[in-house]
Amino acid sequence: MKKLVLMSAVLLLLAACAQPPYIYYGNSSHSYYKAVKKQDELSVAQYKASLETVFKRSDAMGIKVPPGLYCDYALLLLKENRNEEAKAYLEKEKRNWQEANDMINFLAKRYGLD
Amino acid sequence: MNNSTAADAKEYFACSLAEAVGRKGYYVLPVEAMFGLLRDEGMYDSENISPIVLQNFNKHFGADAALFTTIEEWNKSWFLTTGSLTIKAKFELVSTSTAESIWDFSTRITVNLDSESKNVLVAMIESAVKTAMEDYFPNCLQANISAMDRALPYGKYHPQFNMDGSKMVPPNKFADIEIEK
Repeated sequence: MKKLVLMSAVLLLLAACAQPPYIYYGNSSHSYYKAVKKQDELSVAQYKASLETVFKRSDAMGIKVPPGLYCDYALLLLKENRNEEAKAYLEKEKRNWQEANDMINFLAKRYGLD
Repeated sequence: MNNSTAADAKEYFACSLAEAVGRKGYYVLPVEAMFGLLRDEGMYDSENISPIVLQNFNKHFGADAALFTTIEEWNKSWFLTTGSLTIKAKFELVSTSTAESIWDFSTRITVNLDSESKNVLVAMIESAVKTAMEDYFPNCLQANISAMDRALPYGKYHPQFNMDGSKMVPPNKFADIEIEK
């Protein structure tokens, strides 16, 4: 009986440790800072790549992409004239976070994506 | 708002606060989108944001509150084998509909940049180089995460939302935090 209780406690502890984090930012904030500071092609490309990493890892962990990141990725796509893809990422932001609705509708109108 | 002598400090904070607040379970409006709008409207410096502007954030973007940060100090110092970065900041959440303050907190964060070398000459050079060349963004991010962790209640998206009622805010709404590199 004691062994059963001990095993259950260990299993419960392991299950708790295996929980994914509530949210994952990766290196996106640091990459964003470098892109803002340097404003060159390389740092912007690195920022874009860091966002893509966050999207992949969040998807793999079954957790939401942090607030605002889909939207900021959409703005990067707009600068590359990839408007349809940008629109799709703005929609992802809205689907992910209900609070994003007003902001995304505003941006879609501002950039002619509505 | 940057009251320090370090011109870079504003960007360090601007680029790290979204993650610090987002980790606590709040929806944070997209940073680059907001900065772009503020710059276009000549409102990037927070001194220009009046109650009417705050109400517009609520009306057009659905924002319930705006976080104002004042960087009071950003000081790098070095002496012989010891180096440090001191950041003093004030944070204030203001309601966008009433312009009233709903939460505020201050921090003093010290990042220790000492050398670990036992050789005095090496330690002097190492700590001097560290202090001069350090990329301070990770320190600023960690500092802001620590600040929000100490004093901001969990937001509705955090798994521990509504479970931190008994957590005490540090006295005088101030925290002195040390970070070891």
